[in-house]
Amino acid sequence: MSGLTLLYTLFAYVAIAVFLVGFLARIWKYATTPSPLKIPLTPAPVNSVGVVYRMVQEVGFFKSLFYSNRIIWIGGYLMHIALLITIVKHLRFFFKTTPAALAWITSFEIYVGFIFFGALAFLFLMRLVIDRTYYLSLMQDYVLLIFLMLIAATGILTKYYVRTDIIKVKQFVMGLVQFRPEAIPGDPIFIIHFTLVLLLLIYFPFSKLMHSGGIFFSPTRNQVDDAREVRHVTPWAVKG
Amino acid sequence: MKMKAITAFLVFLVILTLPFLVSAVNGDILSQAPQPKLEKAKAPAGVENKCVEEVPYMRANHMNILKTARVQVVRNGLREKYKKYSLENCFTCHRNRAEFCDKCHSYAGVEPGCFGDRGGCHYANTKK
Ligand code: HEC
Ligand code: HEC
Repeated sequence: MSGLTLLYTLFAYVAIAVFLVGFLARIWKYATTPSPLKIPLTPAPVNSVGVVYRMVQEVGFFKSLFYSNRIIWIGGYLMHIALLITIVKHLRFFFKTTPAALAWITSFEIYVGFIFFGALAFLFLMRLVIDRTYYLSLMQDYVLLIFLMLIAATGILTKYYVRTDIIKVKQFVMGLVQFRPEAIPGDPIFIIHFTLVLLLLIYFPFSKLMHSGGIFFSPTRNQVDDAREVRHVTPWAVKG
Repeated sequence: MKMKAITAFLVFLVILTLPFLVSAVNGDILSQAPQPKLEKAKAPAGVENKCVEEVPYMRANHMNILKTARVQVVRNGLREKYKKYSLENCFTCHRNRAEFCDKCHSYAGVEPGCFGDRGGCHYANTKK
C-alpha cells in the first residue's frame, strides 16, 4: 500500500467517524432538548397528520422561505435540488451492485453540477448585494458557500474535463466501505475533490449544515396546535 | 419522550450508515472490493491488437472520444476523419459488448443511451 493510500484511508475513516459521531450527537441533543412551551407557528395543524404534511411542505418545498423571500427561494431551492441529485448520483460508488433505478437516474445527462455551482454563486452574490442579508451574514456562511463551490468545481472538472478512471474510484470507495483498503486513484483533481469532501464532513457537525437534521426538530414547525385539548407537560417540569 | 428521541436517533443512524449496513448484510465486509472481469480485445487478422488510444486514457476518456466523434460525424459530416472512433470500429476488437462494455458499465452504474436495448440506435444485441 502506497503512502498516499494509507494517508487517505486513515483520513477518510477519521472524517467519517467525526461526521457520524458529531452528527448523531447533535441529533441526540436536539431530540432530548425539552420544548417547555407550546409554540407552533400559526396557522398550525391541529393533529399529527397535519404536522407531517407541514413538514413535507417545509422540507420538500421550503414553504416558509417561499413566502418570505422569493429570490433567495429560487436560488436555494435550485441549489438543494441539484445537491440532492448529485448525492443520489454519487450513491453508485457506495454499493457493490448499483441498483437499476440508480443506474437509470444516472443515465440522464443533465449537467447538474453546473446548476449546483451556479446556484451557489447566486446565493453568494445575494449575500453581498442585499443589505439585509449582507448584515446578517457571518464568516462561516461565506466559508461554507466557497467550500461547496470548490467541491462543485473540482467535481465538474473530473466529470467533464480531466476525466478520472471511474472504475478505480469505485474500487477505492468500495475498499473503504468493506474495510479492505484499495489504492487511491492518483489524479490530482480527484484527490483535491476528495480532500475537500472529507474536510467538509469533519466540519459538518459543527457548522450550520446541521440544519439538515435540525429542521425536523423545530418546535414552531413540528408541534401540534392542540393547547386547548391536551395539557402540554414537559417531562422535567413534573416534580413529585 | 425518550422513545421519540431514540427513534429519531436510529432513523438518522440507519440513513447515514446505509452503505456499511448493506455491505454487512451482503457479507462483503473485509472481502476484496469487486472488480469487473473484462473480455480481452481481439483484433481482426492483419491489424495490430492495440486500442485506438493509450489504454489508461481509454479507461477514463472513451466516453468523451465517442461523444466528440458523434458530434463531428453527425453535425459536421467528418465521417472519414473520425472513422477510427466509430462504435463500428470499437466492436471489431471488443467483440462482445456484454462481456466488455456492459460489464464495466453495470459495475459503475452507467447506462449509455446509444445501445438499442436501452432505447438507443446501436446494436440491439451483442455484435459478433
Ligand atoms: C485494434 C483493436 C481495438 C480497437 C479498434 C479498439 N480497442 Fe479498445 N482496447 C484494445 C486493446 C488491445 C485493449 C487492452 C485491453 C485488452 O486487451 O482487452 C483495449 C482496451 C480498451 C479499454 C480499457 C479496458 C480495460 O481493460 O480497462 C476501453 C475502455 C476501450 N478499449 C474502449 C474502446 C473503444 C470505445 C473503442 C472504439 C472507439 C475501442 N476500444 C477500439 C483494442 C482495441
Ligand atoms: C473500464 C471500464 C469501461 C469499459 C471497458 C467501457 N466503459 Fe464506457 N464508461 C465507463 C464509465 C465508468 C463511464 C461513465 C463515466 C461517468 O460516469 O462520467 C462510461 C461511459 C460511457 C459512455 C457515456 C455514457 C453517458 O451517459 O455519458 C459511453 C457512450 C460509453 N461508456 C461507451 C462504451 C463502449 C461503446 C464501450 C465498449 C467498447 C465501453 N464504453 C467500455 C467505463 C467503461
